[in-house]
Amino acid sequence: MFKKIISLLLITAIGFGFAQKYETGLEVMQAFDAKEQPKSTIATTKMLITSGSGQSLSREMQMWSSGDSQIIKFLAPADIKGSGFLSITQDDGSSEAMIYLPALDRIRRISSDKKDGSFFGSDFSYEDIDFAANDINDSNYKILDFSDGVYQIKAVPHDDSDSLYDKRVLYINEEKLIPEKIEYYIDGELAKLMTIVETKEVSGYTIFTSLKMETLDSESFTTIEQSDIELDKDIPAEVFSERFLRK
Amino acid sequence: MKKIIILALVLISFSQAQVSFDLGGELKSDFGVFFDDGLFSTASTQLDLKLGGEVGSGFFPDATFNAVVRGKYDAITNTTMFSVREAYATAYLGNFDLSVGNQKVFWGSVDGFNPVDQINPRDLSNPFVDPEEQKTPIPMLRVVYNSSFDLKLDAIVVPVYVASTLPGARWQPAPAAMTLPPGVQIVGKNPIINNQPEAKLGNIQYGIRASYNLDLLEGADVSASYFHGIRTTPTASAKLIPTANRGQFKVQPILNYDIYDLVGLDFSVALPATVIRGEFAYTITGDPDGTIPTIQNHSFAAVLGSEYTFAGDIMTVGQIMFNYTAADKGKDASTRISSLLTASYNIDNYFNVKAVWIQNFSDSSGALRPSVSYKFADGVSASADVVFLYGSDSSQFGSLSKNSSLNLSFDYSF
Repeated sequence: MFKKIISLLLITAIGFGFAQKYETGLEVMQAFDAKEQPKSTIATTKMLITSGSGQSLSREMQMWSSGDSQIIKFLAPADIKGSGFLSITQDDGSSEAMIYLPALDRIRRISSDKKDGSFFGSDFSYEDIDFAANDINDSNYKILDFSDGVYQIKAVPHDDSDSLYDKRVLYINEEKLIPEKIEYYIDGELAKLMTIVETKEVSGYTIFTSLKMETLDSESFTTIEQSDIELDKDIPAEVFSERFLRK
Repeated sequence: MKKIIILALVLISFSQAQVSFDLGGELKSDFGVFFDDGLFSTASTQLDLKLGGEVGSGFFPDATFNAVVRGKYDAITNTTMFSVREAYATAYLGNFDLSVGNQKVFWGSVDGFNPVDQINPRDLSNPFVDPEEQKTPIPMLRVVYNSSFDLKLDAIVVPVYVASTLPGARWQPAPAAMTLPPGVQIVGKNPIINNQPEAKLGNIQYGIRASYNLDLLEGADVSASYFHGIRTTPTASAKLIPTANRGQFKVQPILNYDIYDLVGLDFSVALPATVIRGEFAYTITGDPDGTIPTIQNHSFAAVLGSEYTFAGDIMTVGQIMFNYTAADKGKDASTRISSLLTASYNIDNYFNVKAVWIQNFSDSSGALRPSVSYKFADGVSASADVVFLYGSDSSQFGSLSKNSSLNLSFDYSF
């Protein structure tokens, strides 16, 4: 009898040692959302877009972001060098977007309703790029599995959500609270797969330094690599301006 | 000795300034053939070398500089031409940006036809080349004031007049027939008198534009502009010069370049799925009564358009244009209503198809330009387009219908 009690206690103790920290998918996402994000980011981003036939196009850009404002200036290739994109979020939450066309020396206002659009011709959509900024209350979450310290979470957007996807499956590392992989489903079929290839600790934050997004039906994929990363730097408000876009 | 030390100190201080620059360029070959007679409209190769850089460091450097030098060989005329395109520096002085040198300026909001944007002359030798290719950089002084409350002031001074390059003979409309008094006989034509403005203080052009960003919908801006300028294309007129023989005259063609004042207004408003843009320009000339044949009459132009991306990423731009020119004395005013419609679709990252359609509703003529472009690799692309002109022989585009053509272009940016 005593041996049975000890065995039961040991099993329970061992079980608690390997028990997952969060009970529900929402708890995991809330913990993920609660992770402190850098107030500002400056980075050089290289993007390689590879088609299903193996052809590749590259984009190199310098990015500045602070809060919900972002400015991107293209460094390469030569035919788009100098072009820029500016997105500013107003106090009321609405956002405005502009592009700069150096050949015309023209700043052109564009519709910011581009959530479902491709991020500069890549396999990433704007929604994919901003997944860390997406409102977690837009979806319902359910833990499908937990193994090797990774939660497999199904995220289904609410009916009134304008998400591109009818379902996402996120693989979130419990210790680091960052996704290792995200599956994107459209019409019930796996459409895209994002893999976080490399992360790096910068100024106390875990930053994705290498991402890969694959579009399964076209067999195309895009890799994004970030370098020269500076976080929480005091970026003057005048950087998020037409003047800086044109410079 | 003292002067040498001072010079050395100045040189050392310059060498300490952080200067970064990069060199690039673009190599382009264009070929075109007229359907009507098989003659080549274009056969040229062009090399642009571009130098750009910054002086200083930080988010805003002390100054930036840009220069583009162009070499072009035209196989049809067997001529080689070298020119300096852009060549200007911009100093960032607090809230002021001061730019001096050869530069292009864009004032306006709409695409394609910009009644407000009249500062730079254009190379109109082929009127159906893309607008950005047509604009010619000219020497100017430009000061932009960027306030901290969404207001921007942009002032320019153009000290020396530069005319547009006129369309080639094949693109010029047929001259209007002269109404001759009875008993008058034309026996010849004198060389053209070209009254191109001289480079002098009295011919300085200048303008100012105020732009304000509005916190409206998904963003909006409105601008008001004033420009005192000289037309970059001439007003053609003719007068009869008597000869020694009674009743016999020679035609004297005259090209005059009108001085005008333009008052403009333009705006753009972004909505959730579309952007609406408009431009309005009223041009005041030196002939308010329509009695001076060498000067154009007052005119008004308006453009209103919107941009919308359909499902499947088909980006479209639609515009309506209205032009009104005041009447010559004893005649009717002229109006023209036309439209511009463009549709562009990226099949993938490499292949783009586009169509541009211009329709003049006043004379039922128009132009259609479908095109395809393909990107072989980063910076390497080719395109093919057809320009199809239609309408009656007396119409704006129909009179040029023999210039319908096929055009090919190869482009390498480095």
